[in-house]
Amino acid sequence: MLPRMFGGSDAGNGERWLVIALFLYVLLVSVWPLGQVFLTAFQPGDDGRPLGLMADTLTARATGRALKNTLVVSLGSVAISVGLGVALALTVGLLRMRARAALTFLILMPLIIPSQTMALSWIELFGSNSPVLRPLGLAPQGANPIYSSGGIALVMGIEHMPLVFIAIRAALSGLPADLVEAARIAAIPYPRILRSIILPILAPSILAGGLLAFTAAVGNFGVPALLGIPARVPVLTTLIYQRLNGFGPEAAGQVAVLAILLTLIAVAALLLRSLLTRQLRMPMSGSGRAFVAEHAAPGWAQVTIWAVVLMIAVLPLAALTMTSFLPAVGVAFSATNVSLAQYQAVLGNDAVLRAFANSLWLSGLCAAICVLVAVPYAYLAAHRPGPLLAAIDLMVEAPWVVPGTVVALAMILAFLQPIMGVSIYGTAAIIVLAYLARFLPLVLRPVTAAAQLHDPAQDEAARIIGAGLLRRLGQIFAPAVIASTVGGAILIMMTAMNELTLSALLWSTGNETIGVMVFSLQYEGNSTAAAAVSVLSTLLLFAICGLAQLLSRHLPGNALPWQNG
Amino acid sequence: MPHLSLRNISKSFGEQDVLTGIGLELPAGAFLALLGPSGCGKTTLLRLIAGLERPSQGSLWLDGRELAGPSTFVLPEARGLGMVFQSYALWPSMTVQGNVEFGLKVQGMSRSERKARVAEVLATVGLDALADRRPHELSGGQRQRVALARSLALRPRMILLDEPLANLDAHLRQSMLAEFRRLHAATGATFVFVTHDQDEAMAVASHIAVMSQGRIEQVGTPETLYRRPKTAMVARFISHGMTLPVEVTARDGDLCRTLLNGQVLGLPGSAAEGPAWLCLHREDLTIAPAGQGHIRAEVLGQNFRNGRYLTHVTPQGIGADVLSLALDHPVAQGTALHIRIASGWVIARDGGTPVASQGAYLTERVDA
Repeated sequence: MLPRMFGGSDAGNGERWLVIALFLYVLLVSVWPLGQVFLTAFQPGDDGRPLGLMADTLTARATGRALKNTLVVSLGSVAISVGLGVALALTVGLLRMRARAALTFLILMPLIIPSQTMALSWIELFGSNSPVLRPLGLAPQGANPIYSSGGIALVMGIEHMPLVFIAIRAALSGLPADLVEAARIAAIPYPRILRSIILPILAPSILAGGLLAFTAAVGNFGVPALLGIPARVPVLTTLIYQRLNGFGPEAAGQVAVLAILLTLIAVAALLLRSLLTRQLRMPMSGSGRAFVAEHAAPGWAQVTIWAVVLMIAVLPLAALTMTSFLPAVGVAFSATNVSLAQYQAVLGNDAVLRAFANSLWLSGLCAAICVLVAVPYAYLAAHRPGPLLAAIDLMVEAPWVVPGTVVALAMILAFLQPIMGVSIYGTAAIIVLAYLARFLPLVLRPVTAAAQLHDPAQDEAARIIGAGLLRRLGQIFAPAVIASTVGGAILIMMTAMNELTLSALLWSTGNETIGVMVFSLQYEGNSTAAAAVSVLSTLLLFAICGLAQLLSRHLPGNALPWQNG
Repeated sequence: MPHLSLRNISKSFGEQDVLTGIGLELPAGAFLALLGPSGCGKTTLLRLIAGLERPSQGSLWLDGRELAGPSTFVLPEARGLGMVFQSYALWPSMTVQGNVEFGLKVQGMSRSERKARVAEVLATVGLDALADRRPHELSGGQRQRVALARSLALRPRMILLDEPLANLDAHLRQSMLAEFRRLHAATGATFVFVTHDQDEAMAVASHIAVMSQGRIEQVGTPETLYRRPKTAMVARFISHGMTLPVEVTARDGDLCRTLLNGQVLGLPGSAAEGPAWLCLHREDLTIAPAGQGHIRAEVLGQNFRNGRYLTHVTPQGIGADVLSLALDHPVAQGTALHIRIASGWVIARDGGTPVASQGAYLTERVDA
């Protein structure tokens, strides 16, 4: 018998081996690579001083500048995320309005659209050649104003606004209706109900959403890469990228220190968030029905909210799409020169086609492996919790919590040298490993949550009739969590297919991803081609959404992430 | 002029009719219980009075003012009522004092007046020591008192209580009922109280409206409902009542000549000639010497309750499932008994299905 720490007292040997296998997997994929970042950062300096590397890097002027930029643009973006998110969530949540579902979808869209596509869209929207603003005579003259700290903050602020919106919507959906009704019976006017009763209840969620947006902004790579590098506004993520790109793996030491700094900021914000949520959580004595909006929004509010949503979700994408129909860079958009030249060019380009193929199989493979890990893990977590499993639980979250750039660096540090004669550096395998580490929580969390609802008696009944572990996993447990498993797998597909942060550091010729392709086309100045690839990738994303929607009809419950709330 | 008047009120949510033809008149200072099984529409009716729902039809008047009608609707904030919610609905971001004070603050009452009023109502409900606590730091009974204090603070003419005791344990329920009676007497306000528990309703109310399937079956004092039920539903719902299918052969002044099991009894009632229900309570049934009595029955089982043996028996040949009566001594299962009907109340029966409805009430009676 294996010792108890590998599973509860009622766990069989099969279960214990499974726990050990999962532990080794997480060790290899997450813990060991991330550990390399720490080991590297704490190396002695060139002159042999203890922690010299860290001291040198932290005192460098470039570090200070990047840190300051990171904090300034992140805080700026949080202000925008919170302002927009609160206004939109309160309006949509508290007032009745037409086409609320469509409105909600548009509000959440910035979260679905990948960073680099968002950044590209805003570049096209605010360019002097803007296909949207120029016909209105509003296009900025001279330099594009989006290439600036303010521009980065604006685009990141909008991209992360849905995080705040979702947090508030969740809190609002838990708001007991009778709290508002009690206030109305006591003759309290609506503005006062909002200010003195609803806002205090929402405050912890607003704060939590804001901190989440801050963490996302600190770790964002796509927006500062496309906007900040040309504008010479380096932030920590782009500084790491530029150092590694410029100096190669020799810069790894310095870069590891930057990565630690980045991790500290992100993790501090998340810790503060979990602390605040626990401290400020408002225990609700009310129960029963949730609040439902009954007052129609006044006309001006509906017009304003649609204007805002069109501005942040539709106009930039429209600008991007129109740009992709231009015959060449620098040509102004008009009805007469609409052309499919860019699409013909990119679809005839082997590298672009390869990038699409790569992203599809990389994200598909990652989703499949993550499912194979998550289902047994969720089974054990629900039915055979033990100390080792609790340790795994902490470890799997780490690569999702730290910024993606740090995960990519961790993979480089861990797999640069051949291991037992096999080198995966410079192959697609290193990208797969990075994806596996970073995206596992996306499927693990929903499946674990669903597993908690699974009646243990079903498993026990199968045990009584003599069904072995694999049979119980496959035929009793897996069917019970199928909906959340598919939902999580689709979320991984959507996220991994369009990511740039990891592959920007890990790609090699032949192993480009869609994100890398967009980034390099834009970097080369071929913005119309970049726009065309972005539009194609966005269409592919929506196609996957649609396919998932069709598939979800055959699944029990709300399988898809956007079906909840 | 009645204080509260509901005139032919109906309410439907989409296709579903929740209330139909509700009519009710209530004098000022009354303590009305809306009593009925769950899903009968009693909470919806309370929410209509509060203004939290709009009637689909009919009108609602308070002290001669139309609060809701075909063309009028006074918003809940303008009705000047108090309400205690089933979940208490205490605002979690405010202290006990803050919860009670908030309505007064909004009305613009001066600080010193407010302080005095809050202290007064908190003392009334016995919570003066807990003024600075937050709702989640209180027990269920204390939350209930805060909710009451909050509704009392504005000195409303009428206080609506939506199943206020549903979340309390049995012991607390008794003391809160006494509290409601005391506050009702002290404030002089009209209380409207929703409950599914007829013991609660009988314990506090001056008037009870028994509801079933969206209609009011009968309104009256507890004694009227007990002694002179209008419908079989009311007869069975109040105090573990029983109904026997009988035939009224003739009326004899106030009495109905009632045919039961081949014998004719003269009993008070409202039924005309024809099929009827004989409504009985446990104390209407006594044991008769062998050969006498109106019904022969066999003992099904007994349980000891309140100092007597509650005895369930199967009557023979009268189309009823089970009757219950209280005896002073234990009797073996299967013993044959002769039962005498000492009194009762006879109401008309319109093609009812006695066996099924008796069966449905068996569980309630045995559990009680």
